[in-house]
Amino acid sequence: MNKNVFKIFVLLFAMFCWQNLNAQGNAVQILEKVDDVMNAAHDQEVTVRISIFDRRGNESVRELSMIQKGSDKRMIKFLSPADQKGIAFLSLPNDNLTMYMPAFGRTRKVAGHVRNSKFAGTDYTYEDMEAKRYLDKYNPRLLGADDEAYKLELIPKDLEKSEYSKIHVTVRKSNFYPLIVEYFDKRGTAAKKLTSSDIRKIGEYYIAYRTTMEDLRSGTKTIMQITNVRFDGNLSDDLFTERYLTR
Amino acid sequence: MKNFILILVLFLTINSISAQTDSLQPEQSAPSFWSSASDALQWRGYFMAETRFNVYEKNKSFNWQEYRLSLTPEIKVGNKSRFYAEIWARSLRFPHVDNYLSLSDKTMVSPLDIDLREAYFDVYDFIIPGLDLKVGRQRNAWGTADKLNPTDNLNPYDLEDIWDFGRHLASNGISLSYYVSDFTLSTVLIPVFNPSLAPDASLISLIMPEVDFPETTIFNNNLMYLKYRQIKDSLILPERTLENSVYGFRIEKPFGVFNTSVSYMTGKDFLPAPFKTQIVPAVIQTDTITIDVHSDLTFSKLQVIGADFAGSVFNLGVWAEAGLFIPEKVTNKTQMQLMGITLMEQDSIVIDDKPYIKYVGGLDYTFSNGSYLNFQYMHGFFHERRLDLHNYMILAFDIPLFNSKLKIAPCNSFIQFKDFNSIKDDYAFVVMSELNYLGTDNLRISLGSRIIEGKGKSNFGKLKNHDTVYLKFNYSF
Repeated sequence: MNKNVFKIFVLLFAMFCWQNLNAQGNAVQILEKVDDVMNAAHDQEVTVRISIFDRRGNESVRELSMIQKGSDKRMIKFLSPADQKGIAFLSLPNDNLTMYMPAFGRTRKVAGHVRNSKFAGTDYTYEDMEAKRYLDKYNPRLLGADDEAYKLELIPKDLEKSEYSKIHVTVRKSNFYPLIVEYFDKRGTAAKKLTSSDIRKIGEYYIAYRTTMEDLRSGTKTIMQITNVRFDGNLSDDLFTERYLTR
Repeated sequence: MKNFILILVLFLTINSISAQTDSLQPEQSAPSFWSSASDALQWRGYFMAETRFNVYEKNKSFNWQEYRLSLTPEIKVGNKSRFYAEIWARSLRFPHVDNYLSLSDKTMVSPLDIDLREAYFDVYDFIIPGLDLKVGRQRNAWGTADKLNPTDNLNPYDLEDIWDFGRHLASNGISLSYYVSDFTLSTVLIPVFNPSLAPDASLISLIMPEVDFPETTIFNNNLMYLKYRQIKDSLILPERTLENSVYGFRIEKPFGVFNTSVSYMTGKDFLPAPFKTQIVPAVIQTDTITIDVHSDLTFSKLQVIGADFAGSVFNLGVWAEAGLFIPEKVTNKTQMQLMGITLMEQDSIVIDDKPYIKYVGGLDYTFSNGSYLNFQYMHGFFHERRLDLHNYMILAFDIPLFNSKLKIAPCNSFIQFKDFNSIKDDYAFVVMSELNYLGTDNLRISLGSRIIEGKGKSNFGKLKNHDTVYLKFNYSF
């Protein structure tokens, strides 16, 4: 009797481990596919209209242009409003973020303390705006799935650097595009929610034309609406340099 | 404006040559949205209105009024060249009529000036890939510290507004930057030296070195007191030769999350120094001689070797910058003559040729609520020389309120002292509080104050009767 109980226990434990490992493996595979979908284009160039809403619903608008090559090189340049035009950011691998302020005529590396602060008054932080592959930054775990979507929990590999304790990502099964990203602060409280909508397929690539970032604590939100997009324009590597940042 | 037109014509000529060479080269990929938007001439700018009021009880009056329209035309031709200019049209300060007739002079009743701050063109990949050329009236900002840069010595200082730290005039010159691997090699040539712009007469003492004139002399074996009636000077600009040109080079390289650079420049000291002084007795009484003094001043040679870095350590932004200043020796020959007889003759060293170092180090941090802290320690303000180097501790702290629609800087301040042991007797302490309204895009309204305390010989301490409140509007378009 005791032997049978022991065997059943071992079997259940093995099943549990297998299932857990399998889920873990699935989570990695799912996130890998998410990364592949998000960074499928060799390079991309977009212009974005940003609407920032305060808690009373008052709107202020910015426009920026962004170029990206692969999954880890990105440059952002403000086109409007006038007092921010020309401000630019260059995001390179290994947390290498450089800012250019035209008023000072100088570039400057962005220190760690700035990464967690608001990006140009939006509800995004500099960390949110970095070019990255999720799998390089987070360890995933599969929380569950329904007919249409997977739900993953991502834990930052470097908790010190990240402002988040975890992220929940809802991934559409049909195309592995992340629909909802929920960010949790260090205390484990839901802090922000990113919703992607108007997802279109341009050639072979998926892109969300509209993303809404809500700050659940302050009641503010930021809507990014893509107004122009171009994929695989064969952008030169030389563009992702401080030399080009200042032009 | 002549310079502006000349540079524009030169730009268009070189641009056409550059366009011809482009057609021989394979097309390079560039972001289409950026370049297509900028092929036409674009105008940007801002309008700024600022009024300052001296609140010191014995001196209550408006002491600054500036209405500035800044216009910046820019043309980018593809990804190969760019023309840029910044023009200020300003009504600065107050009417300065001094007689009845001057009331009919518009320039005196309502002074307005046009200032070509910058006008230059860039040609990218000039002759060889990676080489950028910039020609025209340009600002070459060197150094990585925050506004206070001991290695930023190519362009003369613009001290018209002494509270606008780090402001420089642009210089007419040519610069080349070569980007190879991670390195950026830059060189700048400013053929003709241009002196710095000093503050107006009421504040010029701030940057003038103190000169100790003798109080007595021996005349006919009698001790005579000296009374100064007139002190005049003549400023002699360096000859416009290649020897007197300002030039420099700089090598930049990033190391991980640090930007670093080393630099060298040779040019002229920002402030003139006397090399010949004539003392002429005008009236001789029983125990007093009334005298006139005339000094000839010139700008001595100065070389600066610089090094700087800026980056991130433990989430803090950090930077440091140092310049080794190598001055040229200047000796002042003082002569006192009466009816052809030399009563006194002496040589004194005004600037010695011993090198000295100016440096600045700083850090900044942004808190989770968006508050921003910036601290800098500086040894040697731009106009100070070896024996007169002061120390400055500068603090800035901004707190955003109401979703960053308001920004308050309650305790921005700095303290100046020469020696920590004698700080009680020789210091300046300035508190600069400011409230900023940023509720509307492109608009900034600032209400602020500067409270100044000082003792001893500190420069800013001399301004202790200049406590000021100000209101500033800035609209960008």
